[in-house]
Amino acid sequence: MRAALYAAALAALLAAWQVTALAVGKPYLPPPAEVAAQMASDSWLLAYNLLATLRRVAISALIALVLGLAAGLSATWLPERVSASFIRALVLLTYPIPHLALTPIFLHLFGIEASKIAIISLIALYPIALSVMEWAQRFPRDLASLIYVMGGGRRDVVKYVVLPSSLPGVLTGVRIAVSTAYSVSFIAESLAVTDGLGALIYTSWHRLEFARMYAAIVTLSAAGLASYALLAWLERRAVKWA
Amino acid sequence: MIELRDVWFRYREGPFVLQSFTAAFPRGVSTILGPNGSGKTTLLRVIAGILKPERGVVTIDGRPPERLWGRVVYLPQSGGLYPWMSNRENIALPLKLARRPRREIETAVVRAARALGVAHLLDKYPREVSGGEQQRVLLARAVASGAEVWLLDEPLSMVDVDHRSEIARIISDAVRGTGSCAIVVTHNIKDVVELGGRAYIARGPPLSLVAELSPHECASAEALERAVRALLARPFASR
Repeated sequence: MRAALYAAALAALLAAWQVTALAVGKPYLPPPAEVAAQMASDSWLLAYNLLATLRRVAISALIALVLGLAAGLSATWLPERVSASFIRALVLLTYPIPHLALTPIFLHLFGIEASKIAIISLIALYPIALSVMEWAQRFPRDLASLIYVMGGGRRDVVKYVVLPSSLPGVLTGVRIAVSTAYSVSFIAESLAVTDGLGALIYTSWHRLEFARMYAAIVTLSAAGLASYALLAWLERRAVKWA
Repeated sequence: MIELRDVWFRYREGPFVLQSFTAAFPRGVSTILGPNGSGKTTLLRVIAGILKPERGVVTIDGRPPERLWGRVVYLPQSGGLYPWMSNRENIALPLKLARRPRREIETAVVRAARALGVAHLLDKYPREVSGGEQQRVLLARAVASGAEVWLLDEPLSMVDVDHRSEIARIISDAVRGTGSCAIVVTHNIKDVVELGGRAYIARGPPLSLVAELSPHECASAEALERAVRALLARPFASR
């Protein structure tokens, strides 16, 4: 039933695309069939660039996860309240900064390739850090008290209460972070064009190769969707107790 | 022996739930029978060291409760199970925290689970079992832990009628077998009869123990109910 609904939604999207393409009748909006044919003929080019993008997204998401977890947990759970508050203030103060604007600085600091990963990681870090901060504060205090009564210490409270009760929040943060990483990867890759689907979209656009541009957009969207579905499945398995 | 001397406790700026409360509970099972909202749960949490009194002294065998952590088991009326752990992990938790060997933990968990009739539920999560079964899993944790001090908040409230006597007997046997000190709070007269031991009649807030009844006086529900009704105006649950 669920699969049928998704298939119906996809069919509706394709139909809307087809109708709009026919109505507009311009080269910058080719119909789905033309894009599909381009995808078939460009399969190696798309695969090569997809791998480059996936590698960046995976590395960036991993960096964001580690730093986001560390920031989120230390902002709520450091023994020294001042340090915890300082990290919390740091996260909240730097969150509203338009991080993409830092790209030129990152290019100078880290070079072309590392700057892309740095900017994606930085933007993906915040959903995780904020989600962990929120959930780690809401841990069940009664269950934490019981850990002490049963002879456990602060570390046991983190291990047996704070981390597992924050897991749904962490995984939600990761899902948002990976989706954000895909969006940002397009911008990061098109700012310093080397490889990746973002770079392919950008160069195809400038060469007016619209079918190829759409083929790359569809591939990037499919990768984002697949990652989202995979993470949602992992989340269901990891928090089957909920 | 659990002793409280001139203990004062209140939540934030609210009225005192414990006001100059003084009592001593010897080894064995002591049941505190009183209406809901009288302060019984607060008393257990103060004895467990979870709540700090504003004034007064709480000691377990002459030491503050925090010094006994690890040898105390406190079973809240609800919500004492960790939802992200299987029932097996929930029962094993105090032993894990005590860094006991894995084999010893597994043996103790299975033995306690069998005694409480929850061995078939070990690999399920708490949300997958009924309220009464959750309560039995909590009690299995207490039995497996081998604690010296048991603080049980309405431990039989959700256990079905068919299992109440048997589980009350398991609690009593475990406490007597280990020479432990158990305080059980309840609002149900039948729990007192089934658990045996001495009983204290409570009223409040602020909580006060208005009478102490010997194990002999607690042997019959009818006699106990008459005694309680004579002492208190508010009715008690008897089913």
